[in-house]
Amino acid sequence: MGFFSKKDKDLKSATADFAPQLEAIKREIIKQENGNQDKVDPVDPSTTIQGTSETTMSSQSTNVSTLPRNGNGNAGNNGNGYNSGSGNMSGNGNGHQEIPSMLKATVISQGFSFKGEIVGEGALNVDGVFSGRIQVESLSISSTGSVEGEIKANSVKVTGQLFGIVDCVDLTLADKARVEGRVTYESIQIQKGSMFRGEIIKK
Amino acid sequence: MADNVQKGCMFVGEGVTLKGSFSIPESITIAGTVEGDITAKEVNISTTGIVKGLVKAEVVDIFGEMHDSLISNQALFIRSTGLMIGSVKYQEIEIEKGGRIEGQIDKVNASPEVAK
Repeated sequence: MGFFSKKDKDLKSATADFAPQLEAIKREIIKQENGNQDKVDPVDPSTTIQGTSETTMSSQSTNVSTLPRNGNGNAGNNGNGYNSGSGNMSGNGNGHQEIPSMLKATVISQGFSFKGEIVGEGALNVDGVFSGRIQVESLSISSTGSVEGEIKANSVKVTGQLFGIVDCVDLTLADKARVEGRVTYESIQIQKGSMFRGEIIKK
Repeated sequence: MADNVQKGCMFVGEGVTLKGSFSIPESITIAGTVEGDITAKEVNISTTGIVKGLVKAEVVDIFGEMHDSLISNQALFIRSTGLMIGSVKYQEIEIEKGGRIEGQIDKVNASPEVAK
């Protein structure tokens, strides 16, 4: 954690400098892609993240900068207007099914590896590698994502890999999900092709 | 019911309690209660069905309750009304929303024991 509090300021200012530029690049890419293939939906931020390599890059640098703030338990005290969505996240913890999906989720993008602790009220998407502790409202591990550690969340959706101790309300394993460890759940759904090993307990 | 009266099949009606060890070449459908071990190709536990014991089968479809131990060498389905408590070994698993499962879960690789 110390690592991040040190770097936090630098990251913040760096992102602030880049934010308008990145936004412009993003828009341009989306425009181009829309013109070419109509593939990217600019309205939903979570789908644009997994676009071409350039789009991904711009998402990465902005999104990673939100991590230290959340990690330090300061989700919501976000002075940066560019990511102001997280300010609402902490206020609206109740309607967990709709609200996190409407707001921008914190993303650990593909190719990134994060070690440490993430605590927040919003949604976290892991496309990269995470090890440590997660406490969020909604966690989604994509097919390229891998999480190792202790997880406490309201809803957990796994299409990638998950190893560790999970405490959640809704658990969904889809596609080629691989989960190993100890899971406590209230409602579970496992789709064909998923794999689970370990102990499973209903609340 | 008529489609259950087939060669190598077994049907346990609602309200019926069976105790013992059963070996069924084809499929068994359980709407009653079975206490004991079941070896079959296909095991269907209906919503009213309860099984306590060791079940070994290729395909297991649970709408009711299953306790103790289960080995499925092909496909295991736990439906929205289904409950599984105990140790599970499966090749492929699917749990519908609402289905409950508790215990130790592990994946088996295509077991040579049943493949033969």
